[in-house]
Amino acid sequence: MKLEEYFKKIENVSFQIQFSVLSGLSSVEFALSRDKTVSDLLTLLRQEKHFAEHVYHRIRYLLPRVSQEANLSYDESIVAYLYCLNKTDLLFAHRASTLIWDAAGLLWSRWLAFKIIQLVRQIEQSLDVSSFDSATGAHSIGEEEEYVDTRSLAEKSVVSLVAKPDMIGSYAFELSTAASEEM
Amino acid sequence: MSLYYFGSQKPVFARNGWEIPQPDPLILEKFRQTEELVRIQTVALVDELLRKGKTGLSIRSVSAHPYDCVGMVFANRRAWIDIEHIGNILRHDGYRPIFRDDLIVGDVVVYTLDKKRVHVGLVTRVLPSLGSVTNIRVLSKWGKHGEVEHRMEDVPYHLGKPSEFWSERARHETGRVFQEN
Repeated sequence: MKLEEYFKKIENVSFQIQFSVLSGLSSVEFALSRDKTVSDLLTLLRQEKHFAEHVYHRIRYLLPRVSQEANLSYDESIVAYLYCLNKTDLLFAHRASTLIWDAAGLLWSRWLAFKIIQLVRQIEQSLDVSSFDSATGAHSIGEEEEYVDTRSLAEKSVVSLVAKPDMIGSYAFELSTAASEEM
Repeated sequence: MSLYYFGSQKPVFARNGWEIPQPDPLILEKFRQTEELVRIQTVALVDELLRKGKTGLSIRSVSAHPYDCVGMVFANRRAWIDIEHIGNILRHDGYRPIFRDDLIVGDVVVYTLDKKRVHVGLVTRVLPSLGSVTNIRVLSKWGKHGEVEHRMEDVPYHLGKPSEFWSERARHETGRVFQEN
């Protein structure tokens, strides 16, 4: 299936409505992990690494369309995309998270974005690749600055993790667990 | 048009004083819904389930205030509480598991999907039915949508199936003793 077809399915009303009944981020992630369309998109993203950027741009495309006036918030679509990015490309996941953080009207997407931002912050602090404190206002900055922050946080973290592949598995898992416990 | 803006978050405590965890206030800070939007989405969802043959669904209320099924049952519709805390809440509030046949109005039903707890509701009616099957009705809040009264089994797919039954009633009031695994 082409990427556009996944977009069409994930932005469909019935897709959104089935996830909007849930009661917590853990339930949303659990439900997304069981969804065939999301699983297939994940597989595609793992095969075609450059598609991560397309998914990131799709999130950017949807964010201005989120409105409490509309019948659809796209929250469930955006969180599905972010969920996939988080599993395949931490850099784009973090970049998307910083954009989502500034958007109004979202619940699941903002919740997952929060978790990703926290996770990247903890990874970076633990690996000592940069000082997050120097990147003040990471949650309320302009787009150009956002890109700089993204590089200073996620990219360096990812680069560091790639440089230390043995650390990724258990270490990231511990951090992820710690982040979810904090919430 | 009423529009809810999430304000300062207040703590919620279980009966024994344990503070029930809530999402970071920053997460809910920009989440806002209108009652109109919640109503439109709830009606659409209920219509879809009615088309699938799940009859007897009744929308009790819609609200722009952000609370969920756990917040409805355990926090008087004041808070959004992640369902992942339901086990601790039941324990800290002194609930005990009971048999389905011992359910009465006010008891709690926990729904699971692949053994994961995903939803909770409050029993509102227990009607005798033909044979040994009881007709139990439950009030629950469906995520961002409104509160719906429904047959215990009739919930959207991702809210799972009714599989745990809990009561805070005294042991002698809850019938047979439930053996926990």
